[in-house]
Amino acid sequence: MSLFNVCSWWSAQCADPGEQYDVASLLCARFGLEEQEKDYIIVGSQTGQLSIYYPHRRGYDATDLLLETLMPAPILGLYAGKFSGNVRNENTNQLGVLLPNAIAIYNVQAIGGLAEHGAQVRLQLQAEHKFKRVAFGLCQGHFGQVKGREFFCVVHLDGTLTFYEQDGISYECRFPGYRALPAPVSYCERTDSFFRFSASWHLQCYSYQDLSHSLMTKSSYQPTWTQGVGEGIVDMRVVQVKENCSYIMILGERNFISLDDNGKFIFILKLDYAPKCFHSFVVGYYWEPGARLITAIISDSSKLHIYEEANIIWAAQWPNQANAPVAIQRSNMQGLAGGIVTLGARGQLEVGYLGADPFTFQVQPLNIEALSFAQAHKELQQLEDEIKEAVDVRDMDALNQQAADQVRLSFSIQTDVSEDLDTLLLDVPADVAVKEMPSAKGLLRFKIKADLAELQLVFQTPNGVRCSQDTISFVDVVAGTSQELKLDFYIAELLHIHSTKVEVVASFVNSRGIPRVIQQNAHLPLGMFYRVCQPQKAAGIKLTYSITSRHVAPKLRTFFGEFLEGQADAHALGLQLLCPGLDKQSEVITVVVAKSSNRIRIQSDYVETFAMILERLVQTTLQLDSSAGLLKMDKKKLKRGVLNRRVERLMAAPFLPTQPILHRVDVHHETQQNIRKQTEKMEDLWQQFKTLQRQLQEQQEQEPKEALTMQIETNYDQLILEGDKLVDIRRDERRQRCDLNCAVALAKWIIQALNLEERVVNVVGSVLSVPVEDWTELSWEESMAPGIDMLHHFGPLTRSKSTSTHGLLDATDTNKDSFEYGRFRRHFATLFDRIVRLASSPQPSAGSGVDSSGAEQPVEVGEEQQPAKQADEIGRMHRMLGDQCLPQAPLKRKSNMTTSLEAVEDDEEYDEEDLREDVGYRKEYGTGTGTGTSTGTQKTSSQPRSEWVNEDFELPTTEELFSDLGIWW
Amino acid sequence: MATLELDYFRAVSLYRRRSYEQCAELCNALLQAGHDNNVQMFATKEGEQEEHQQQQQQAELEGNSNSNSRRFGSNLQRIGPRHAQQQQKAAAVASIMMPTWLMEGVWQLKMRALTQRVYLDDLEVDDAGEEEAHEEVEFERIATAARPGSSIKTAFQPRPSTSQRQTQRSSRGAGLAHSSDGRLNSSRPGSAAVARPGTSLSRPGSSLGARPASRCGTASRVRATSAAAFNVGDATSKLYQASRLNPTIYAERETLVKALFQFLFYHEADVQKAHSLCRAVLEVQRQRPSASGSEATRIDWWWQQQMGRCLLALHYPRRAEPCLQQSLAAFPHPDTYLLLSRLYQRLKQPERALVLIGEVVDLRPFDVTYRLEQARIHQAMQRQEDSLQLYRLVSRLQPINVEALASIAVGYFYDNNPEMALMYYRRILSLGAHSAELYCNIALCCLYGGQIDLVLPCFQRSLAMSTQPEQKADVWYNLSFVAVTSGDFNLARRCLQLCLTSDARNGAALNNLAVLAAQGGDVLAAKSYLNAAKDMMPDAEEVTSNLQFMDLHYKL
Repeated sequence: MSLFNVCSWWSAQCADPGEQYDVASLLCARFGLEEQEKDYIIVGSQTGQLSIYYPHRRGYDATDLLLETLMPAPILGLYAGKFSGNVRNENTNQLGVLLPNAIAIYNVQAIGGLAEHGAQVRLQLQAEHKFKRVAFGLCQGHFGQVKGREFFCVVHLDGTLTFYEQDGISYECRFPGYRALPAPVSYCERTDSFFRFSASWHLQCYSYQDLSHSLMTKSSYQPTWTQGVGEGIVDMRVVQVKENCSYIMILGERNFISLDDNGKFIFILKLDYAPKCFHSFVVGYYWEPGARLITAIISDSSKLHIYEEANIIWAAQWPNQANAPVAIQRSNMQGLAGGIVTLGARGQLEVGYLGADPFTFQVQPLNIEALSFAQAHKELQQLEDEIKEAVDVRDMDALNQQAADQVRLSFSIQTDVSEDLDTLLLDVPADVAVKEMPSAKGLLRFKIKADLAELQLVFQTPNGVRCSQDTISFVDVVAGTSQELKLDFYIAELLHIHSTKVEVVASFVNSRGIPRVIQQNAHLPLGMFYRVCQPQKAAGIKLTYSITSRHVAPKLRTFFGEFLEGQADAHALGLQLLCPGLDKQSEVITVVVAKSSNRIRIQSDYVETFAMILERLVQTTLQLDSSAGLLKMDKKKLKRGVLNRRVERLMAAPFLPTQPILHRVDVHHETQQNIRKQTEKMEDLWQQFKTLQRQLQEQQEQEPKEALTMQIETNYDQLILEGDKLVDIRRDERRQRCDLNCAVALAKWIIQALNLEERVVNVVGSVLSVPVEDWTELSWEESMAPGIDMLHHFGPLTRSKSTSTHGLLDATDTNKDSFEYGRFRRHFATLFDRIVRLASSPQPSAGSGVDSSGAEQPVEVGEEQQPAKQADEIGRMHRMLGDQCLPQAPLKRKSNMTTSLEAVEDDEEYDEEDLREDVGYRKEYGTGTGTGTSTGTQKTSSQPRSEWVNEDFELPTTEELFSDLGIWW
Repeated sequence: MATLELDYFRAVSLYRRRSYEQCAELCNALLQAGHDNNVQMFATKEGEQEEHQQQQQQAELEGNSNSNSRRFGSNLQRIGPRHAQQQQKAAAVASIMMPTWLMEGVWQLKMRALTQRVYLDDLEVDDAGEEEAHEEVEFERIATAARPGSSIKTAFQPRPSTSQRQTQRSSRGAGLAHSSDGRLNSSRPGSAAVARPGTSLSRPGSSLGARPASRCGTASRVRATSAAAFNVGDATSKLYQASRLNPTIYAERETLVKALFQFLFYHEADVQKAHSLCRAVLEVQRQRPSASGSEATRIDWWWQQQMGRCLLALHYPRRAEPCLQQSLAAFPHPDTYLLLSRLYQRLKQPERALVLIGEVVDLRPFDVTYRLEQARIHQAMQRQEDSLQLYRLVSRLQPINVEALASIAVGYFYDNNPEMALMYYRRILSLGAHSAELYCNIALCCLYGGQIDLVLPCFQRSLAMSTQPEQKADVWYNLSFVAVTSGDFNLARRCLQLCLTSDARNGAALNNLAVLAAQGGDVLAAKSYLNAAKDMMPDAEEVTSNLQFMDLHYKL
């Protein structure tokens, strides 16, 4: 046996080309219209199209179609049998058409054809039985073993049965037991019983006697026998194979099962394909020996498997590999005995036979043209690009540009706030909804220029603010898609909010599976968070900014226009924070503009109020200035010693509210500790819980369990109690984290505008990142400690070079895995101190880059530094400034020390000399290498020495660090 | 009402012809309609409901029979066609309300359709990760209980870890297809190529025999992701939240519980939940008073089998054994035999599995299922000869069995007989089961058989047919062998890079790239490639020995 073809003998397309056919739509039967009659093929669609075919010869002919008519209702099934008693010819069968609410019995009448028009048939309505419940199927047979006539029963969707005996007698009954999904019911004539597939996947056998008497006696009755089938069934058929035995053939969803009519399993055949429909029949006559039970099963991939009992004897494939047929029958045609009649889901009717025509799989030609060099080169280029695109990430700018081209985002937030938020729809918690906070509306437009496999848009809002849509995912986006999303931003938690920035991040995977990310920002209107109130005269924290840009008018209108209705030239503005809106305290911030100078003073008692105001101030200034187009803040390689360029637009007075910020850190840290303790407690209880559970499991049945149960209950209660406590602490922690966010952001915004070296500003800015994150293993303080520590020991913020090396050694010794909060706090405080001190050091008329680089020089260059006391740090600073003028480096040289490379190198040389004389640690580390190489290394290593932070503001690599310290490796 | 019922019929019809997705859509519409009308589902107990139904029917009957009594005399049982008036009234009432039974039927139908849509025979798929920690499983169970409402699917799906991917059985040969049917194949996107015949090269960087069959771990995960993806945007999906399900309540509902079990097991891939459902049902069955008395008759073999299935999937083979044995004693279902055989193999007692399968083979000597299982056991025991013998027998019994043919082909291939392997592969091809993996294998056979002209076209075809990135990676990987054979190391490097483009976690490719890099003199790159390969495949012999070799011979 091999895989053969199902050879097509005759085929036709039924009237309705839609997917309207299923297993009950096909019927092959005779009606007893003529002598030597062959089978008619009747097809009825679920749209009501009824067609009768009578194939005459190979190949479809127009005269093969005998009737085509449209029924008023969908045809659910077609049946043929002796449904009427008063018919003379005993070979005559009637056609039963099952409609949803009726069964119509037709007599089929032949009309002889004239000339070449061919014959026709006509349907004559014999009887119509209506019923109320919608039908599912029909079961027919010589119920009660009557001869010469057939009764039938309609199986309804709800599982009831309506029996129709002839002469209009009908009655309803139900099978006992629970209602199942609609499934076919079969009748076995030999034992006069019905087979039903029950809800619990059993096959049940009921005798007709029981069924028909059940209503009469109102007695409940039991199935004659029940057998577990163990799976859902596709179809079921009863075939009489021997005089004394019928087989029930069941096509299950995974197995092909056969039982005899006494409920004994004949076989269960596990199918390794998904069966779709089947037909079982007996070749020969059952009362003669040698009758063979043959079953044809069609698989979902259009293969026909023919079994004799449970053994496969033939397999064939439909040649065009079209969709598998939904119904199969075997019938005798004129000129073809035992043809296989199949019906597809779209009404493709086909009569085929099993020819020995081997199925040859035709490999579709790949149509490869002769290889042209240009084309091959192009393909190769394409593949190279693919490699480059996915594996090579050297040119990030180009990649980002490309990504931005593929997905164009435009994201904006309206500047005015709205009050009409649907708090119910957006699921705002009640305590927030009560306050009726203003909300803002945003708009996101995106256009996709290339096919993408996946696209995900994520909106990142500051803690406490929520967006009406946080994540949107798309799959298989085609190029050219564009969409607009309307968004609502609203406050969902009563927390201090540290920023108005909303980020939208679009991450996508293109059709080749390469991921890219792009992002855009927009700012929420301040009106969402503040409302105007009376300005305050005095406050605890006072900050001063001076606007140095010529393009920005130092007026309140410039920055807080939305709060100044009518009083456009006011000089003082009081804003009250809406958000936590606690009753006890009203958090007010006041902004005052100096009348004559370009200074702006911002004051408040609360650290939390500042962040957003400063953000607005700094951002607006920078934005206005750069739109005036004078100075570009492009990210070119920074030379050391370049002064913070923002200072040319606005400058903050060097003051940091260290104490309040540190207080926030303290509170946060304490809560962290509490959480940790609480978690440990939970862990213990949890371990106990598990042990107890295990004990319970291991206990024998008869042992008393009371003590253990009590223990478990106490333990459980405790667990819940502690868990609730943890939840509370977590909530506190969240609030404190937000406060800390505000505090850190405040520091960051001040440092941004301080008169410092730009690299210092950037480094400190990147260390003080917001929002603050806590991890389960690592709190924010712990994660910050190394960064702060590093700032403490290296770089321009160190006290001096010489002490720094020792500091490093100390640090590596002690700080490796132990975190000490006191130490962290001390470093944090000194860091702020130093920043303030550096920034407040007198500047030689800040203005040109040349001068400022000179001014910063002494800090950068590690001069020998006596262990200065904390108290006279300022004095130290002055001394350092004075050092600049030491005769070691001639003053003349200093003055013409422009930003040229040569000058910087000169400077380095002077540095090294200085260091070599300074301390002897080099010898300790460098003994192995010869002096010649040592100078060589020195030369090379001194170059990156200044780059203790590379231009992307990442932390230095160890190599850079070590070279910075002048240690050979 | 009538249209609702007709829609229900259509849904059943779609289910019957295996259009599961359409069926589910239609069910969604129906469920939505029912939901809008506040139809209560499962509000009453099953028994009561049936009673209620019967009473109603009885009342109906009596009402009818009164009016019909004139026609039929005293024969109360027979009712004639209803009166038109009554019918209209009933229809008017019914059109407003969707009956509960219909809603429940639709619910169940959708559940069945969803299950069938993603059904993969768990006996046909080897799930990796046999050494999963028990502690982890236990933790998951408790976690599930502690967080009702959250979706288990998203929250507690264990992430595929590299270690899980390792323990795949070596060349099963017919990872290609265990069935002779196309459908199962297509629904199993992760199944890998027929064992990669690359090891015949005896260089340090030759390919590794065993590769995980599916990239993302287990078949159940493939199922679950497919199922989850289908649920996206389905408004009625909350009617199917497995996490909210209370097994003890459903255990009494015989109508649903089997379908529900399969839904949990196959669709939700939530074995824990399925297992607890199983336990609850068995408990109910045990407590049920029974006339016959003996426990065996009360307990359904089906549930015993499912219990065994769950326990096996949960890696409790010892506890699964008695369940399956009892089930087998009650009813000899083929699945039970296969499950038991799996179980013994997992317990490292393949001999016992062979004895068991041998028993059933004696009963049903021509059933291919058992013969195949025998062959697989032999293969797992490294008895290639016996297993090939059995595969040959299978291919005689069922000449269209692709698994048998592919296994024989692989046997020939590794026996340095690529020409014979090619014949078998061509036979599979002629059966219509053409796939990227098959073309890839044909190409390799051609390569080693010396039919060079066919190699590249076959690879081209394979590339054109491969849809999954893993498939592409496999093809590029194998193409690199063509390049190596022809001595073009640069091309080989590119092929391997393309392989990594598709699947960056391909350890074999990383290893081979390392060898190529070392050959090209770039020792540092080689080292880093090897380290990457080591991360991907910590147990691979080749990688370890290559690393050792590097440590010995290069000073880094």
